[in-house]
Amino acid sequence: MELLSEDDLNLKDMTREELDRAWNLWFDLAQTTNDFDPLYTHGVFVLWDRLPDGSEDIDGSTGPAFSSAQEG
Amino acid sequence: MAIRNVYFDLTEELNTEGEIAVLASGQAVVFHRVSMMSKDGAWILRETPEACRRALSILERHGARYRPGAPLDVRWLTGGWSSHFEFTDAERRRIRCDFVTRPPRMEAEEILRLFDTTGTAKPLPVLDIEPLIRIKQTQRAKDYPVIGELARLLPPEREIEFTTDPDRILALASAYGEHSRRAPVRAALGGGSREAVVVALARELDRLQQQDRARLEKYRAASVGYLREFQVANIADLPLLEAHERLCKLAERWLPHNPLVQEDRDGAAQ
Repeated sequence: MELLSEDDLNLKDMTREELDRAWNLWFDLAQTTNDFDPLYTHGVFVLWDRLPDGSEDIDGSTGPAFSSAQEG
Repeated sequence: MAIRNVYFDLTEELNTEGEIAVLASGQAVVFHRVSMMSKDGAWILRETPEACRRALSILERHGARYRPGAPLDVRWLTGGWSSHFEFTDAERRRIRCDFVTRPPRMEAEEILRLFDTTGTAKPLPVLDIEPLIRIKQTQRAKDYPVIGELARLLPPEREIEFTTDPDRILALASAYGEHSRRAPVRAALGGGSREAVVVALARELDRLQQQDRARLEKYRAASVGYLREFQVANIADLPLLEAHERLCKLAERWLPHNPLVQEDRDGAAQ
């Protein structure tokens, strides 16, 4: 493994084992920023940077967003 | 220190009894050796109750808990919702696992083909470059440089359809751009300046970002009450299978199956 920078195009020449070891090294270090990470990085909730906690009325929505057959 | 990528291992584990999960998003970018800066795992799950059960069972074995998100249940996954989990591994690292069955900008047929593995034994089920690029056409500006790098892995006649690099568009347009409908490629072919290509590219990226944001806004608006109830019920503190049962009941009351289509009171699409 020659370099570890994000822009390191030598990534393409790594074996699977080298790639895994490099990623693990980075992932271990990246744990230190867990508290500062966004809530979501994938999926359909990514626009939430702070979740509604029950003590506030976000967007004026207080009732069920949806009523299904189970209710009726 | 761990030797293997935990998300690659989880992908193998999810697929032990038949292919149900394809690694996507940031870890797929890692797998394709474009970047290694991805802390979470995201999978496209086969859209069946059995695949959901198997995934939940594996997550439970790892001690995972639900994060705020939709239940891992096809009633909501079919509507494009995502399910989110988290656990701590043996080395005290935070592992986050996200699942969808209907990733954005992929057609239903294309998703079905992901799980048609007849005669195509892959070392690891990972999303191919082109659909990976499309699902990364998000509202986030930081995804677009990655798309440019992913596009470099495609043959030139396909790279020109996806690259976000104006210099690559200028370099490829005359040889490969004749049939392209992309505005930046048309600008290059029309003898436009580099600036004209850059402007067309910026407009295209902005349109993609706005489209994705508009889609996500519908999910955000539809999930306000549900997410509040999720937290009031302390779902994230419950053992996974108990949490799943509780979450499905919450979702039946609070979460429309598909916020992109209008539903009647029976939950049927109009």
